[in-house]
Amino acid sequence: MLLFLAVFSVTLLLGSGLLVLAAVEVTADRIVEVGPSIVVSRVDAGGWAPIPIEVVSSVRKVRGVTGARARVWGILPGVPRITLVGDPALPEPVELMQGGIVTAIPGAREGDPLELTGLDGRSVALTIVRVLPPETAAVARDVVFVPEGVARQLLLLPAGHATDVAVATIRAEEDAAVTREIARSLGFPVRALTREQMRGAFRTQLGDRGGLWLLFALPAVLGLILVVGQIASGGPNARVEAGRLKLLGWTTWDVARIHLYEALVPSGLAVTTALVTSYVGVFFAGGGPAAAALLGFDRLSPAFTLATSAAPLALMEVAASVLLPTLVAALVPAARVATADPSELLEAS
Amino acid sequence: MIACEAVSVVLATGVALVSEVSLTCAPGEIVILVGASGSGKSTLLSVVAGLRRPTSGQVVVDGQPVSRFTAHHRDLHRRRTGVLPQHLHLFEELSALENVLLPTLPLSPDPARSSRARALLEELELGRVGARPVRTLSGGEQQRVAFARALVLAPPMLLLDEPTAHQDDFRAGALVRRIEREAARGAAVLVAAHDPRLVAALPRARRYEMRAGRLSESAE
Repeated sequence: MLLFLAVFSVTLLLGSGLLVLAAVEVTADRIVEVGPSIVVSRVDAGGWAPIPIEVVSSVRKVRGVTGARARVWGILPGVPRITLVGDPALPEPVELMQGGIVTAIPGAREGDPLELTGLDGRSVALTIVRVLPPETAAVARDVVFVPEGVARQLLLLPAGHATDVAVATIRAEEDAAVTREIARSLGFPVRALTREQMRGAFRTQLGDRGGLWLLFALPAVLGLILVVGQIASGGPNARVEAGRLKLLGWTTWDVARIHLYEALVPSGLAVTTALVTSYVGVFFAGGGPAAAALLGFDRLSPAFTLATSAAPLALMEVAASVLLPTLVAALVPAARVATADPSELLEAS
Repeated sequence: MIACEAVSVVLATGVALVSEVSLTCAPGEIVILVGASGSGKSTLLSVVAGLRRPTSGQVVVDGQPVSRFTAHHRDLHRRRTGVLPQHLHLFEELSALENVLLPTLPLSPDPARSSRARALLEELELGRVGARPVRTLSGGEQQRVAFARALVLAPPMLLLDEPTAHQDDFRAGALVRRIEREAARGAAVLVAAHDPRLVAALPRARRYEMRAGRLSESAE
């Protein structure tokens, strides 16, 4: 039972973490893939600055660019923090009290009121007209779509200006060159992020959190090896039992096999159970605590959905990283007992 | 054929447990080693069983030098040897039947062995206690369980250390008859005993006396 619990705990820790990391990486890649090729923001001495919408036409003229679109969006601090996106497709409210809103905030229901506080501290009361499907929670868990005019008002964005410009290009390989060209074509300093840079930034952030998680995982695996080794050696009683079995004509391999079975059967069951639990937790129960910790979310939507395509490889890696040390930790003491001289083993009694 | 050729067992402290012992035991033959406790009988049996190596000399079984076998071959040698040790080495939490069946577990399943195990328990008046954990049995019953365990594979060699030590006259007689039947089917039987009942009950057995690790020729 101790062995089962030890292997189960370590596999659950490794499995949940690795599944989240692998699945988030694949999911992030997909999200970045369907997003803009380049995002251009204006910067000045104070950092980010609103970008004039008229630059969109200049950007479109750059060779290699197939489309450019000004975006109005921003973060509204508070609890919960809101990512506000201005949606030109939403009708502007006749009165602010009847403004439309689309959200994926957990618990939001159509028809519910939602009061948003702008960056100047003034509140706007809106009505939720549609709730995004729960499957979008991975990217839209804190997103609120509002009419573009409302977004400008809340984000203090002047008319004729946008947050940034989303650019579509023909070939990803040329994004770096296109980015330089865009920067040259505009008359002010800009910061441009390509897909590759977005992926890199995301992986760096995920890698940092993954590294912290490994700091917990590695000692857990080492502890597991100690537990398995202790159980597989079986103590003085196991030596006497091995001696008795050899007295009865059991070979060294017969004795070693019994010790290995005793260690590996519960370990195999524990690994299988833990991997199933990890899979269900990560992909069917909203990511679980591992996802919350690794992604730095304060809470997760129950419908938090990640891509499962990386799961088989991740599961195999976890199974191997637990079972191989377990096998070695079981094999060494088992072999030591099994190869000992029977008389020496029996004398222990 | 079991042949001990000048077998000696000397401890690291220099104490000789067995000194220059030579004897033979042919198939179908019963050889009794008599002698007081501590005379070296059990040590000699453990050397013949391949449980320990002699310091010098060798044990040859069917022309093969057991003493020089690798660990694996000595394992296989023990599979052909039924051993009733003085300390019975039973698994106390297992039932009598499970203990008797233990030597058969590494082998391929054979219903005949299971039948033989049950028949042996019946013959040795252990049928009614076969399902009970060994720890709940009396000393005499435990010894008969170990005896049945030594016979379950019908081995060509039997090494029995004090097989009647904890038995009453009636049951000691039953064990003696069983030993004779094992010899009659061709097993080489080497018995260590200081029970005069056993020695008297096997008048046709060849006898050696051990004293302080040495085989006394005068007792043969």
